[in-house]
Amino acid sequence: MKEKKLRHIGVLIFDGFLANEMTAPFDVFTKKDSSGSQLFEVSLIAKQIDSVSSEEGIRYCRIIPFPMF
Amino acid sequence: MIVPSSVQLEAQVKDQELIRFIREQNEQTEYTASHCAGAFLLGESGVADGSRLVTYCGGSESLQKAYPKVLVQDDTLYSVVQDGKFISSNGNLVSYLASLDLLEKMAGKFQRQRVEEELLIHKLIEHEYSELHH
Repeated sequence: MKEKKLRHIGVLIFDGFLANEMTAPFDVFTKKDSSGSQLFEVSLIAKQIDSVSSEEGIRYCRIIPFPMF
Repeated sequence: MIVPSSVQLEAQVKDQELIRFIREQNEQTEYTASHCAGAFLLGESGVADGSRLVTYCGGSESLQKAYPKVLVQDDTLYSVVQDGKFISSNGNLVSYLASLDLLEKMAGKFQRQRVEEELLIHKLIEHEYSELHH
C-alpha cells in the first residue's frame, strides 16, 4: 500500500482570502479512509513564495508557488 | 482546484498572473471549485462561461452583470451548485458543505459520512443554546 499516486486538491490563496474557505477543504479531504489510507494530497497554492495573509490576519507560509506546481 | 474568496477582490480580479493561472490549471483539473466571491475569479478567467455558478449571498446580480456568459444561480435558493466539473458555493461555513459534496463525488458517500462524524457537523446543525445552572 505505498506510493499510490494521490489525487491532488490545490487550494489557491491570495491576500485577503477567507480562512474558513481554505480550512474547509483541508478538514474534509485530509481525513483517512476506513482502512487508514490517505485519499488526497491537499496543498496551498499562491503566486508568491512569501507569506500570504488571510482576511482574519492568519499568515500561511508553507505554500507552493505557481511555477513549482 | 479550489478558489476561495477575497476581501481584496478587485485586486485579485485585476491580477493577470492569477487569472492566467486559474485558466491554465482549469484545463487540467478534474474539478474546479469556488467559494463565495471566488466565483468572480472563475468568471474573470472565462473558464465557467456557459456553466452554472453560485456566489456569496447578495452577490448574484453583480456576478451576472460582470460576467454575462456565466449562468448565475440565485443565491437565495442555492447554497452549493454543481455543474459538470464546477462546484461553487456561498462560501464561509457553507464551504464545508461544498467540500463534503465534492468529497462524496470523489470518494463516495461512506467517506463523506466518516468525515462528517469526525468534524461533528451534526452537532452544528442540532445545537441549541443552553446554560447549566448551579
